[in-house]
Amino acid sequence: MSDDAGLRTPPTRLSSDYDGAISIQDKTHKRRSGVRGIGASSWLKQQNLAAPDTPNRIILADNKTWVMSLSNREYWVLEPHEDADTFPMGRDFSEDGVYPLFCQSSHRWFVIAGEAKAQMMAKLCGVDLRSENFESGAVAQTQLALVNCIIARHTIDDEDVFSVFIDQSLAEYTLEVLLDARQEFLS
Amino acid sequence: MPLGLLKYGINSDYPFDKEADLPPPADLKAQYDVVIIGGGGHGVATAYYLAKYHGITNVAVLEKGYLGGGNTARNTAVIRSNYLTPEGVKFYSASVKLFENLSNEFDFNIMYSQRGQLTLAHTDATVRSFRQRAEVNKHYGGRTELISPSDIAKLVPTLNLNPANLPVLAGLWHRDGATARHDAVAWGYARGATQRGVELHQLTEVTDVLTHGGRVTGVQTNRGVVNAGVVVQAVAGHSALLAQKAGFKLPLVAYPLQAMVTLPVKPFLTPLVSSSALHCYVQQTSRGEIVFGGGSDPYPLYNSRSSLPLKESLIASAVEMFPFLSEMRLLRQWAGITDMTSDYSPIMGLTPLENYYIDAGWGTWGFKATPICGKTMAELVASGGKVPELIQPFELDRFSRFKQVNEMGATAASH
Amino acid sequence: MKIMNCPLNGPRNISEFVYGGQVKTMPDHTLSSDSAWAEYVFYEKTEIGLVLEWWLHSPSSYWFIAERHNGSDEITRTFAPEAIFCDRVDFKTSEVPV
Repeated sequence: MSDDAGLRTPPTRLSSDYDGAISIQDKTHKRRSGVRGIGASSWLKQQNLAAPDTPNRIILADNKTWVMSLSNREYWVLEPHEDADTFPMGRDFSEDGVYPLFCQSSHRWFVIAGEAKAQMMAKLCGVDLRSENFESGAVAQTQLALVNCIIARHTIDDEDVFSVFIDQSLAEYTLEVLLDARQEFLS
Repeated sequence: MPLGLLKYGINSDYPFDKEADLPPPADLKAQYDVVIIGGGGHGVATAYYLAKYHGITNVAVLEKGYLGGGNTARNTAVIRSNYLTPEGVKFYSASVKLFENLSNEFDFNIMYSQRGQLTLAHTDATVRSFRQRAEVNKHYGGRTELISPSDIAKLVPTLNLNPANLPVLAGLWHRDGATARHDAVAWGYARGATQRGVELHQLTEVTDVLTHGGRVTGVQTNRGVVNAGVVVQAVAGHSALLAQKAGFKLPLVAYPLQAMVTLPVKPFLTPLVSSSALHCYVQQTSRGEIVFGGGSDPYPLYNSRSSLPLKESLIASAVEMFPFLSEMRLLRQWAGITDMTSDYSPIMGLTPLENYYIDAGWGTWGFKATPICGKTMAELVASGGKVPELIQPFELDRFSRFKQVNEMGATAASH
Repeated sequence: MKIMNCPLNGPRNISEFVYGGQVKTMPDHTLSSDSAWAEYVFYEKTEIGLVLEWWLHSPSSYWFIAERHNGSDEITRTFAPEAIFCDRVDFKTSEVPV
């Protein structure tokens, strides 16, 4: 990709360096992990991480850690300020009904910010992501340009963002699609 | 060239009244030796061969709509025999042979055009399966070979050899591949059959199948009861529904299959081209229109509606193969209901009812089998239930014996 | 685009879903006859009318059951499979192959 370098060294602040329109950052190297199973939510509580009560929600569990629910039995823990490590391998999964989920290497993580982000996503996605219908804390498991993805609306450093997770095998293609869709919103 | 064409050329009052049309509608008789349900290509072909080779002419073909108005009119007119299994190759090769001489036999131009069919491989696994298909084909007398991308470029200069970033690795070049005017095939068979005394009753819908003690006695129609010595069903997408009326089940699932055609342009594409990975096939008709079609709908439905997502993906694939197609306008689009078997082979032969024979499970591959299907079904009827060797592998009971004839790979991408 | 209501994710474009076949009761494969097994594997309900089907919401890998009219394509209801399948099904393994 031609503007590869421009993308991989994103501006330190998310959107303002891009005329307030749209920025797309690659946070794939930031820490995330998951748990699955009927005991997943109680396991999270033991780790002092609050979990959403219903599927398809994202909440701030502690200062800088987000917990996202994908069903009643599957949760992802997102730490956008921490570099990736071997978590959750270092934790105890001996309890019944809890299994680690290695979403660190299975998915790419893009963070989209800026005023026009919902407008841009409307070109690619069937779910209405405008704030009146997709408020902060909402999660959609859907498709972007026919590619399966997870979209979560939350904040990073008080900035309203979409975290987008895409399977590694199709992420490069989807990123090209995103960058192409962004074009018309740049001044 | 059919000699009939020459007659038209020197005659001043074309078309001739005596041969231009089918006989006018007649009353239904109370009894026929053979009742064929379904006036598509297969039904009228069966009637034609019954009359021609077996002297059985007290035959009625009952059609709920009009002649050849169902899947005979909706298919994309591909004729080929480059299947995978010996059973399939033998059967479809016999069909190709019959097609080659059909215009002469009918003295009626079916616009048969043997221009070859090319299937593209985009993965090593597909190349391997193509090798196997080429060998099986050659063994049974077909003309099929594996060719390289540079050969493909010479054969079809307008083809994109890297469609959707899936480079073409090889092609299965089937010289016997052909196309024909599908309506004309049904018309030719119907004309030949009715000239020999067969009755074709259009707008005659079979509403029930009458049975007694394991035998069929006749059919109930919207025009009254018709008694029959033998009944043959050849109703394509509605096969399972009709079989249910006759009291047995068929291992079929009905899926819509969508296709479309562009406005006509000058001839540029000689062979029929299909891509195994894009699930799309493209051909140019004798009239110059580009016909393209692909895989079935993603879920079953007894409905010939079309859907935008499928049309979109079909167009996307066709444009990947031939990028300039994006400049062309669509003329028509349509769908048909296909009766799919799990092994992508047909169901022909006997049923649980003694004198009731089935011709079903033609899914997306029925048109090319029209002549051989009619011929073998006629043999089956005339012999009183002795299944011809050629169609024995396709019997209904193969499913309970777990003896399927797997043609999925050779069928899915190019019908 | 046709819309289907996923019990977990709500209304979504039909292109997000994958058809998984009709809901059938699996016979005990260690005891069933060949013909009963063939019936289970190859035969579906073919009448035109409402059918119960397995569907997958592909982005979330969530399997559920839909009731759909196989002639009009109208989806009358969708629900979680737990409404039908509450217990794990185990078949005895036979000592001798049948």
